Amino acid sequence: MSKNQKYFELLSAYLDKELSDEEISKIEKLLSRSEELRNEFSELKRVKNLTNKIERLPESPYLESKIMAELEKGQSDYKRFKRWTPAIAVSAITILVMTVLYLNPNIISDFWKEQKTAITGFYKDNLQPVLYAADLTNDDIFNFAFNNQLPLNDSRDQYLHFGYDDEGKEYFEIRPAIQMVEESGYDKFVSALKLNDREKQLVDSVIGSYAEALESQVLINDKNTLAISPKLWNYRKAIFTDLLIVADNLNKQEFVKFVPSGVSPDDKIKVVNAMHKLKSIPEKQYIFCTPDSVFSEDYEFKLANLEKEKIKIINETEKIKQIKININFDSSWKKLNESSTAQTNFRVEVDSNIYRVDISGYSIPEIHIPDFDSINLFIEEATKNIQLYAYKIPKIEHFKEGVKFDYYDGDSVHSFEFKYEYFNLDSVIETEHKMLDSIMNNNRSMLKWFNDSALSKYQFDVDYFSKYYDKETMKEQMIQLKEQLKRMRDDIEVQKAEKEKGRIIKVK
Amino acid sequence: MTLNSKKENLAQPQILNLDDDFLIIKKFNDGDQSAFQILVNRHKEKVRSIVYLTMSNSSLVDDIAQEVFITVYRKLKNFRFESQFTTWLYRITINKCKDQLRKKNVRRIFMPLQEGEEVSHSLTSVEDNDVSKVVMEAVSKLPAKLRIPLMLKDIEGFSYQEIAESLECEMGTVKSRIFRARERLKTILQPMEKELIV
Repeated sequence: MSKNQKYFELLSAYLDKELSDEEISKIEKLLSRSEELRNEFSELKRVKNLTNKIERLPESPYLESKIMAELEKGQSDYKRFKRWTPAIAVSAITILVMTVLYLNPNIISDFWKEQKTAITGFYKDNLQPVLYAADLTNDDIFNFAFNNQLPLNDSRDQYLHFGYDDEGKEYFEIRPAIQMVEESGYDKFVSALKLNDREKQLVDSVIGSYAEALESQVLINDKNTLAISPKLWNYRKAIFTDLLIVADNLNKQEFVKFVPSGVSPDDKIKVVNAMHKLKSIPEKQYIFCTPDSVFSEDYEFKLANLEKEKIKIINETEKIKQIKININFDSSWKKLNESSTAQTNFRVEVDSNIYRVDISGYSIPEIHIPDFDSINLFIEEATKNIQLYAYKIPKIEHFKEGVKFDYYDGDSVHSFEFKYEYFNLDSVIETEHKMLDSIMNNNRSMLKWFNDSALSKYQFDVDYFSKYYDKETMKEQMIQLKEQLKRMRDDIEVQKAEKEKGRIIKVK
Repeated sequence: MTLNSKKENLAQPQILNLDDDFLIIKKFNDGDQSAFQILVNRHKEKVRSIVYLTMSNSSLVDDIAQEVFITVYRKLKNFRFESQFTTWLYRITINKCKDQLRKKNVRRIFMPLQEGEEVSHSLTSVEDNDVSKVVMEAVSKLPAKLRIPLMLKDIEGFSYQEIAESLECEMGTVKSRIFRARERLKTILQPMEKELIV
């Protein structure tokens, strides 16, 4: 039986005695048949035993009296304050008003002027899509789903990047193009699935069907306001899952190479249904980013009237295209770091490269999909696989005592050698250091390895390679690798000899 | 059962009863301030434990627990007796912890690492610490959304239903997050596998 996340999840609930009688008999039957499930069960049991060993906190004898004292204090302060409140308030207000008017007689008129410019309506005026459907390429939409990025203007020199932080809270950033994924992920996706022209057209049409909907998700106006619909996060999941489903239908064999097992037909149906629901929900709220503040408010962008509006707007389009949310220039945007946004649901951080809005206090309206959380797990895993797929395929060599990988990272190659007999973390680090010693002339302080990340990378890749390679491909790769290794050894020998020669000359 | 006889019983460990909590809250709402102290006494250790497990840090436990009970004191008049008091209490506790974690995260964003400062990703060896500490350290590396349900299940013995109510999410979500937490924990603890054999 292949690794199946759904069953593993059931095993975890079985361990917690949280299954129905029907589910128990089902899982017990499966357990008796599958060694893989039994292994996973004992692993889960082992982890549960370990967490059970966590010691409880010693009791706190003073907490109760501390709380009661605090409450007492609060109450007496409140009572004392309450008695004098009217007198204090009247005196304070009188003194304040007199002082303020004495110091600045124009304050009232200034205040109203300020209010007038700060009203949100000012910023909501004449909002239009940052990119119309016709301007969004398939690559843009694909990168939106797989790389969390959307272009912010036609010249594609600024992007909206969004995602989730470690706590799973959403954030978005405005970034210059230089920090974004440049490669065309969509081309790789199409070639990875070995799609013919007709099949590619089908995928194009799936992607294209979202272009219109995306149009109203990010709006901009000439007040330098960027309005983002919170539904963007849901759309990203929707497009992603739709593409996975279409890929699965078109080429199951290639699809499984980068999509995790466990995406069941049931999940797909739930998601497909959810997509329709999502498209039919009107955008009611937007997050507005302005040079003064970040706020969320109801705003209705009339998608239905867009066609009529387009005719009117067409003359202004060129003008709109020139507008940039320029994060480098503007001292007023930088003020947002210390501004009153701290009191709202948004946290803003601006530096010379990135304008980041952390929306942890704001709830993204969720479309109701039963168990979407578990589907999300597959999406995360598939994203990881797709990202790896987008890189050059590493070389792999098996030998009697172990296995060797060569990773390509930009222009560099990183080699790892693992010996079955001695495999542990030390060997990873030792191998790495040995390689660095010879190549980088003993300068190991430049690079460091974190133990846990090295190990999980290894484990993830072993799964990936076993999925990717058949025996013949592996054999070919091994032959090529052997040749390359020989060349590499020769090169190193030559370099060593040259260095040695250089030293001798220097001594002379 | 009178309130006084209840007070005498407090020193003894007792099974919390839905009706007892309701009775105490009613007395408090009728103006009996001492009833609140009884409520604190009954639930303070459970609240402290949830804070500790949620935050993976013992230094803030009493401060957050105090904040929880002060909030409860202020909102108790609005309690509608529609759910168990403990469900309501644990929800407030978890929300306070989440607020604290959020503040911590914001601080982290605005305080870049100093030159030469490193983030340690390795676990302390078992030789120096007992298993409990090592496992707690590993648990603290889990994101809060996975850590909290796992701890409520494995340490506090909550049912999936109780966890879902406390976290205001679906049961399916709880099931999935507990599984993911265990999988993640397995990977984090892998380097210590030999030492942690149980």
